[in-house]
Amino acid sequence: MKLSRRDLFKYTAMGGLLLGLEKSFDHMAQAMELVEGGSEVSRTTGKFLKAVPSTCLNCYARCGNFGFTAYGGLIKIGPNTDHPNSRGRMCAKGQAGLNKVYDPDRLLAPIKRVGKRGEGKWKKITWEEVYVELAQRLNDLKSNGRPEEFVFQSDRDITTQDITRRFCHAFGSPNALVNHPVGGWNKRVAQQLSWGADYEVPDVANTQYLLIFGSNPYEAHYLRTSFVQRITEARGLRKEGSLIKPKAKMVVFDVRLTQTGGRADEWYPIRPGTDGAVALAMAHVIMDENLYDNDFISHWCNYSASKLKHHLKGFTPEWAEKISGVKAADIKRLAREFAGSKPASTVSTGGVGKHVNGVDSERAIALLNAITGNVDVKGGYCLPRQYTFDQPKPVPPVPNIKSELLHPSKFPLAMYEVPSRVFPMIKDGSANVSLFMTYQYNPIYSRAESGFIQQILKDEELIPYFVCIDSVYTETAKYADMVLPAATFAERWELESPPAFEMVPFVSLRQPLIKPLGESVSITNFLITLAQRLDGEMKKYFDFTPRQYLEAQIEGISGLKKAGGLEYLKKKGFWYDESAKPKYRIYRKKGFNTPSGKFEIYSKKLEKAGFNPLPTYTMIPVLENIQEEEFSLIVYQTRVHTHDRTANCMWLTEIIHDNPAFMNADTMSRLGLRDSEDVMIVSKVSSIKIKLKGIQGIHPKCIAISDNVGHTEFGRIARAIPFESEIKTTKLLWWEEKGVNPKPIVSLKIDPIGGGEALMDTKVWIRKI
Amino acid sequence: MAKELEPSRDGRKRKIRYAMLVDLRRCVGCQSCSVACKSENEVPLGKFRTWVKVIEKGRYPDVSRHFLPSFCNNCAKPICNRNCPVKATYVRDDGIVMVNMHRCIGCMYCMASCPYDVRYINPLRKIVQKCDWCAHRLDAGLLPACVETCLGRALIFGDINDPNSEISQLMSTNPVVTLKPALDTQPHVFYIGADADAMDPTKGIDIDHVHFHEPY
Repeated sequence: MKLSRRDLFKYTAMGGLLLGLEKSFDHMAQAMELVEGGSEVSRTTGKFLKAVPSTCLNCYARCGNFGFTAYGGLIKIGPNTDHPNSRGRMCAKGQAGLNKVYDPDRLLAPIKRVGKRGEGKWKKITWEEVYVELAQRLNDLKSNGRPEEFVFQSDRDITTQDITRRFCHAFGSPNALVNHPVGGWNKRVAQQLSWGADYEVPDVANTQYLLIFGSNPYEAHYLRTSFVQRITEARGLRKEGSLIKPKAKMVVFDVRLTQTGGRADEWYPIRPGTDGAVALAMAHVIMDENLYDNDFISHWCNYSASKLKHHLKGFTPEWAEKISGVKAADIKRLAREFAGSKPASTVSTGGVGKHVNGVDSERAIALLNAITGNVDVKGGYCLPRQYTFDQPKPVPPVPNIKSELLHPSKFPLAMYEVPSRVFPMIKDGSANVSLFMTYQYNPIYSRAESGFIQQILKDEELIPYFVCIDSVYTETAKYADMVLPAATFAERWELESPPAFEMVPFVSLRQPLIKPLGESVSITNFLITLAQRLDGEMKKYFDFTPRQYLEAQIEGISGLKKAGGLEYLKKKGFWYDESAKPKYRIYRKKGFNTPSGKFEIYSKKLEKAGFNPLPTYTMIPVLENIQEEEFSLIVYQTRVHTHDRTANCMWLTEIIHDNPAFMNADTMSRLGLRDSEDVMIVSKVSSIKIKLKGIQGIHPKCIAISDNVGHTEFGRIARAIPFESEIKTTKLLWWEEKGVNPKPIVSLKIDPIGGGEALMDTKVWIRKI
Repeated sequence: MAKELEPSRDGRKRKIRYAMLVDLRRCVGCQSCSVACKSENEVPLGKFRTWVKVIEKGRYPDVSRHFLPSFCNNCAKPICNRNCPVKATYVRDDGIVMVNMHRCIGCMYCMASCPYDVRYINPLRKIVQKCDWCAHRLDAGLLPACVETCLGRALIFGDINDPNSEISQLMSTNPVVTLKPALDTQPHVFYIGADADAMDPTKGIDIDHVHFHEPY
């Protein structure tokens, strides 16, 4: 896969113009060649700035970026043109990473609590004091024979996950947990059950048909920038050989009219949590009308077509219409279209997974791709292509202690923990925690029923010592005993290998664009230093520098080592095998990574755990029989923010700093509610005061509130307070609304299979003030 | 205009005329251009040189969304540079309307005359600033920051005097519109597939909670 900039222009242009393009840039060379990416010029001196290639982490898409530096400071973060996934595109969040580094309210020194917990009284301490205190506490735990009471909940990038797990295991605690934004877990479990991989990567650039369920790649997706640029490509005319391919059709099922739905060919407002029913009804039509790919089903699925037909008999389009509100005639037509347009792929994320039936619905959607033979074909529903990283030898053994926190016995199939059960388990005593450490995790803001979490963190009996590591003073940090300043993504060494859209896996390096500001320390450095202070075998397992750790991680990737290893990555920012061509149907070689080696329509694992082994639909109890004055609460991501991580980025918060509750304007007028009116939105858990905004693009039975703003801590920018600082523009902060956090009214519900939080299964009422 | 578009046949150096083309079939309304510009040009809070308006139109369930990114039009007949009392604002050979920050006295006459409201006064420096298509980047051979970063590759920038440039090619094969053509300012930001309601400040529901310029 050699993808030059010129090729990019060639492939992305509108059909008829493809021939003129190559020339166009040659011609520019005559006058002046305008190039994109990779360099930055000073506005005052006209000189080029030093460019450091790295990998972004202001959201989880992990695009290639460049840090442009001068005089020891970071001037700008821009896109890396040659990066195989993001191809020189960078979203608002990535560029505003600069705000995160130079946030005037950033934590730059370790602080220790002096008042009561949650009182907000702090004393600045030195790192030496931090290490002495933590080493003593950890050594005590170990010598008392309770190492499992050290619980570390860390961020989700691969290097951080690996090194925190290594630290915990070496220490003797199995409790290395990962904070994951709610809902994603269900999708991963569903995909693992169906085909043994975490996610799908729709090969959108080559597809003819995109069937989107509860997903909004135009605004938020875990691979958004790489994904959306290929969708726009597919939505224009493309060239294949000497042929011009027609543009791909895009159909969206979503309760809200998102940017994706608003630009799609068809948008269907669907009742929340009923995506699975529509997918099953479509599968019913495809099987019933013999539109299926018999070859794939008979060779690569573990369930025969005739049995599947029988199973799907009851899931008729008429049945789905009653449940979802999508007309049976539309379901039938779309099913025929989906089966007839090849290659095609589905896209599904949060809107499907964040329900208690998330796993079932995801499995029903995956089934659509299997029966139409779109699995891992060019332009279809592809397996992720990624590298895995090694660990330096010796690798600490996994402690032989059963951990309820890691594998709750109530959730036998939740292979990726049940993050939202952590606090309830601490509360009910099924998990003992003596030292709780979090890294870049803000449960008080981001988890459902956040008021409950606040109480637990405040209780020194339940959590005797709480260490919060973060680059910002968060709502959660307020309840810590010690807050440690973390280096931001622009100041750390890490490796990534996100799923490749060009279908050739690659390695991407995150390297410091500048030295960590103040006394902030990267998580890798912190754990290595702490390990040196601990008794026992810790030193043996952490006998390396951060650089040696990265070198050990890429030890197994021979191509990269041949190209120059870490030195190559430092220069380019990424590496992939340039001679490799995209390969499809890779399952043909070794089969799928499932017990049967096939795409499991019928899952024995599910059967063993007492669930329906076939893709099915279960009604969500709360959302059943929803009354006239009741609504379901939809919590969503806006296009310029990342969960709870970006409210201190002024350029982003300036664009979206408020989050009115969006409602269908016709419903509002029927209920006598006015635009911009303040109301109380009440759930069984709690209530919030929020302003209403009436729009047309939303299901009449839904209220949608975004969950990126409405902080009570997180620095002054997040709280809309203008102030004087070194960054002069902060005194010009002009907005007054800081938004409302919807999480306190979200009731905590969990998918019994996947263990992911069902964030959207909350029934709410409106109370006028 | 027609005369200018003729390619030179004697091989002599032609004049460059830069222009921006916004292909709204590809725009995803992500605001990357707005933030790229803020970062590149140190635009203070409260001011934008680039803004993507997002509207929703239609009645449930037949609703759609439309976007309209706006920049300085760098008009061929700019009104703004006529009444600058100190000649701070001028037009470059390649068509870009500039403000000389050393001459500007911040009187805001130019702001008053701009029909697109794309000029602003920098509250920290008390001078008028505007989108100049990243002239400093163009001079170094780089594309404007917004164009470089555009997620959907909806922004196409180049020389419209060059018949082979991507922008010329696209403009010659697609119908394009400009904002307020009746004023005869000859704007040089062109739109493909723009929604008439998005170009009209009175129509559609503005989805964003804030909006700054009303460049129509």
